[in-house]
Amino acid sequence: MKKIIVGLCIVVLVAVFGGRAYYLRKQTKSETDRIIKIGFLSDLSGFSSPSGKEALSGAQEAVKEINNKPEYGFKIKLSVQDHKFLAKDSLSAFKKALNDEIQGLIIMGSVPVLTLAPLVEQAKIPTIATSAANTEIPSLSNWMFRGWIYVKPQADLLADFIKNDLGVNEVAIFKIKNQFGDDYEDNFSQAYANLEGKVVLTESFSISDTDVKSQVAKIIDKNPKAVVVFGFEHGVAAAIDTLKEQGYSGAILTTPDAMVDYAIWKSKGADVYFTSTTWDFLDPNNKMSLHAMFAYIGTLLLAEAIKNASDNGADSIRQALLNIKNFDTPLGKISYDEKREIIFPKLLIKQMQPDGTTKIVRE
Amino acid sequence: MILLLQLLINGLVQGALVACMAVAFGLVYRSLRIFHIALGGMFILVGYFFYTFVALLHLSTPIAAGLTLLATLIAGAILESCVYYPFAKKKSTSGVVMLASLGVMIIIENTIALLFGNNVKSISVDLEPTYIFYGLKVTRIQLYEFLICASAFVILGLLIRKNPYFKVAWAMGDQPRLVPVMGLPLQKIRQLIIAVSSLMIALPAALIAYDVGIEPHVGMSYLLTASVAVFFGGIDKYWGWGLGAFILALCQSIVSWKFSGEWVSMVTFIILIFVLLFKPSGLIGNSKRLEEK
Repeated sequence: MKKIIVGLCIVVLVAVFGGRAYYLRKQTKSETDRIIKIGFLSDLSGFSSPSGKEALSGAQEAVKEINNKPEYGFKIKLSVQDHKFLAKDSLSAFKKALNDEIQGLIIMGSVPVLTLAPLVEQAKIPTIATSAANTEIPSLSNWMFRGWIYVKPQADLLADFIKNDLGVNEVAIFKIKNQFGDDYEDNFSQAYANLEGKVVLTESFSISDTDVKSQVAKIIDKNPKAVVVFGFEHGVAAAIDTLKEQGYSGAILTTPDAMVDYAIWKSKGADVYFTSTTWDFLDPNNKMSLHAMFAYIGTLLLAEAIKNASDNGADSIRQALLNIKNFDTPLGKISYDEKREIIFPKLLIKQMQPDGTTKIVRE
Repeated sequence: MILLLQLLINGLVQGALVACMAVAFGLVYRSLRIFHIALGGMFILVGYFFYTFVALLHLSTPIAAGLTLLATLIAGAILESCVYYPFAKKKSTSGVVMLASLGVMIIIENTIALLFGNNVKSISVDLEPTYIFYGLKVTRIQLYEFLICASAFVILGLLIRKNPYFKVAWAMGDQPRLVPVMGLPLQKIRQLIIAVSSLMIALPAALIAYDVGIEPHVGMSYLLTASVAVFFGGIDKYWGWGLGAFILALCQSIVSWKFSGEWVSMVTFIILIFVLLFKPSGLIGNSKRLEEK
């Protein structure tokens, strides 16, 4: 009996001390695994939710990579909020992220970014704007960094390609009726006018339009040799389908913001020209879409800045972001300039092929 | 000139589609006294039925179209037996039924968004063949839209004039209380009206979905256009609904030509306000005698 009692006591003592030692070891380990929270504001249930979800998947992929690398010395946790691509929901999403004590922020889409820029300035949160091409974005807050291909270089490249490579002097612009479309129109018109090209007609479609036959009839009536379409995804697909169905035979050009609905593009998008980075997001072997890739890069950039910052303060992280030069990404080495614009190794113009592949037509 | 003619042709096709939608709305509004907001939801349902059969289940287009019509008839019957008829039995006011109808539309819209997402779903992934007549371009689907919808509108108009069942259904709008008094099967007539309304929304909705795709939030704008065509043409005039639909669509085309395509939805609202203010009985509707008012 005594032996049993002694044995039990030994078991209890081993359990108590062993458990405590395990607990202490775990506690010490968790202290070294610092958790850094990054806000991720994306459209998860609005009209652009397919792109928003793709962006989120890219950010999550980056978090997985970072958390598996001990050299960072911290782990990232995303505070994911749905802004529905609407101004009012962006505000509440931003407040929820702030309540989560985030140290960095990624916002997807021009409209939410433009809405939140003054608040980002006030809250002093180093922020990366992904899937947001609007020209003004970095100038609206000292804390806002670009994480996307922006309007001006694309507009310049398109204008130059149309004028000099295609030899076209008269184009029509077909754009989405919002700030995104206006911004592209302004930049492209200016660049094209500088090359002595003429915009013969500007027509627009609203974000919910899928039937654009009337606008296309007006464009065809002006007989431009090229039509530049600025918009998102299905709106652009509808515009291009209708142009082709109505017998338009000139060149059609657009930007990568439109190139998400692969099924449509593969069957109907043949011959369309579009600006692009070196990343071929239409290649089925590349698992990440364009939105996912930029959110992935944005998250890596923020993590890199947090790693390189002298302390945990927002000022240090912001400075570390500004100091990023030649950072290795699947798009090549990228840097930030003093205006917080992202500098890419190169922008290309590609042409969609009938089999769904793309061909580089201008480097 | 070619541009104006092209826009008028587009307007004619649009007019035929709107005429069918106007009938779908007008029949229920006139005969059952229900402001049929759920029609917007039915429009969305049709599009997604068609999308499911063609794009997800890979059925041939004619079989998918037949199944879509059948599924829409069933959805209409469920709407009538689970929502409209119980309210009618309780003698609920038209305001209450309208709210219930709005509720049905929101439920359909949200359920579809939950199941399929908010983005546009394309049914056809190929370019439509285009026919050119004297420089005027019409796609194959536009031809189908015009021929099918215009024929359906004319055939139903003739049925309402000649067929006794349809005559009763139409007359119910004038004297709804006389139907049971005369020993006519009220419930069956109600079901007939809802079935016809469901078919008349299924035709344009399936064709539009095939042409330009479908997304969960388009129902309300089509419902609005259909209701404006009914009020514009005259609530008591079947042929007036068609006239209202064509004039509305042609006005939209002219605005598109003179200004820009982005202003066409504004025309719908302007016409609605104008009609409600100055010609409440509609373009060819008879003004009521003082004692009728």
